[in-house]
Amino acid sequence: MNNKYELSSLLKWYSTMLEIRHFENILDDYNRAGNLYGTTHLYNGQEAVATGICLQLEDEDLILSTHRNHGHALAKGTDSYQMFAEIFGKKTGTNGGKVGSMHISDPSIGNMGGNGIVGGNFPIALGLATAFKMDHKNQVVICFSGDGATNEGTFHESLNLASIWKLPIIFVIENNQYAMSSDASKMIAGNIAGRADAYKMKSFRVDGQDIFEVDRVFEEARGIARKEPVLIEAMTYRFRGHSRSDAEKYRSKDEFLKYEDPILKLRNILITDYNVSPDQLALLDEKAYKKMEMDAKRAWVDEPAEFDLNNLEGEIYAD
Amino acid sequence: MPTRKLTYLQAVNESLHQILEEVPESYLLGEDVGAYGGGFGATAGLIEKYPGRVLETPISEAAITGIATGSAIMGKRPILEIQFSDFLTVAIDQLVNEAAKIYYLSNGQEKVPMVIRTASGSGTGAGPQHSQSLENWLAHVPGLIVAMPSNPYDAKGILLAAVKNNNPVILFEPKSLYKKPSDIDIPEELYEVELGKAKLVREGSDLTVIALGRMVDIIKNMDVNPSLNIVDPVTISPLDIQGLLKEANKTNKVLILTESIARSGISAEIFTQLYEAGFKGTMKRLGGKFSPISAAKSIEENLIPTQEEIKQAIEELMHEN
Repeated sequence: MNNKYELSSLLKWYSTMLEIRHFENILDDYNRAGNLYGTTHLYNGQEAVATGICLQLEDEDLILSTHRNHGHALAKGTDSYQMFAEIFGKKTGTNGGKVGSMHISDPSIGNMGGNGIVGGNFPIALGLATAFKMDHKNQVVICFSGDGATNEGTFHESLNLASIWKLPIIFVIENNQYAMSSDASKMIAGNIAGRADAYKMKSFRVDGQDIFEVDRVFEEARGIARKEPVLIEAMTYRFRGHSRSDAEKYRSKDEFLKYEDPILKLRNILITDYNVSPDQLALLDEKAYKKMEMDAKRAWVDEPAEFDLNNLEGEIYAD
Repeated sequence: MPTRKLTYLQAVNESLHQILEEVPESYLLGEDVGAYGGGFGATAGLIEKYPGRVLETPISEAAITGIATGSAIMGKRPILEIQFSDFLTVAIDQLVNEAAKIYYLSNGQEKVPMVIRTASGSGTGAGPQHSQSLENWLAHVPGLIVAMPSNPYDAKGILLAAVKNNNPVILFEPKSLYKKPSDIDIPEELYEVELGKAKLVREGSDLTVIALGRMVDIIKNMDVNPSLNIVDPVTISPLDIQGLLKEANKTNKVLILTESIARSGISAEIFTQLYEAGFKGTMKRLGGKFSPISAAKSIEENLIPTQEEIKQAIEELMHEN
């Protein structure tokens, strides 16, 4: 069936999704052991979206993410050891350990960072894309956000501007059904992909649990984005709570049964259609886990983040 | 260097023309900055000369502040006009949570060299949502630089300093001064007025008046008996407290004058910082009343420090020991 794909690409997807899953499970282990200061927002269940998209990008293509940014960061190529260090508040972190889980960035590989403000990244995406356009670059900006962000004013201002200026942006809305505890079906008039129509913007609605679909749709969107902006609504589900302090009183325990685990789904396809042995997949799983476990251990013992209180100006302002 | 007199708006306009000529990364954006010439005419003639570098935007203050921010990260030097400083409230998330934070968030890997010019203050009958002086709101935010040039010479020069600066700089232009010609000559060439440095406006021996923006113009033109040592902070954040302290110590008496509301305002900040820096003399401050600005001239002119109030404060200071 999916024979346009090389097996090596599919195994790369599989490993990347597992790395994201294990990265966050290990993070959660540290949290449960009482070792995590500050909050985290886990991406568990949504891995196919970040992976299917970011593995198609070049370093010069830019992503902007949200408070739930670990998956995007890892898939774009951000170093997992440095990410652990950032979240643990260590000086070796991606951002010097100073800003934590919501703000992982690495501009050197095109990860322009997470964002703690829902809807805060849409206008920045316009600016990055405006610079691309002024410089006649062929690169694209991927602006990830959740369903909740599409109710912010910045979403509407930004879709309008991106459309009239024909900016090379792909707005990827991960509709994981909940904005914190708020049910998207009750909070959003119409549907998200339909909102793009009002701004004369092409849009796609894709099964975000199916990495083949994400990959295919994104490839098409990327072609369009060289001429004009485009929006992808990825229907997905977060299997974990909003943040580490979520008791999940707003949804039923078995609701998740309606959604496939994107990693298991790919695993089944690899075994059935590509004759990959379960043992080979177990080895990849083991390898991903080991890497993440070692990165976390290494980061944990690093020096804490530092801030020069005697040179506030230098810490806060560029020369 | 040839010089001549210009109005505040002409000085800003000339500066913009010269900056676009000399700084290839710079560009303008904002509402009505094209053929209309900007809300007050400051961008007149620019779109004709630099069509690809003057971007007319929809009325979307949050989005256009983000455009400036994102393009600045990529190495552009955007100059954004926010038509009235009151409209900054619509852009404040982008300014406070994004532009101001990006250098810190990225651990110094990303810089945001952007400039916002905005028309501020009262004195034109524009009413409660078009006459506020909100400069102190932004001075409260680490990561932003906030200045308020009080005359055409500074307005022209500080714009270049702001464009060259690698941080977000917000320039509040007191719009009541826009059409006033300069009392000093303005050089034809582009020059810089340093950010973060207070300026002595007039040397005097009896009383130091620290005045901001429009109040500099008002106090300069008032006829009072004591010899006034008038000093203009020019930049509100970072405040040049050592420069102000030096001037304060010359007279041992200080009056702080702001158009912005006195309560929880920049006048209190200057007052406190002078005290903390060791000033031992007497101080008073006068600022705007705690009220929206009226559109009626009869009310509006009494909502900022009036000449009578200023005279009375000066008299009280002169009689205090």
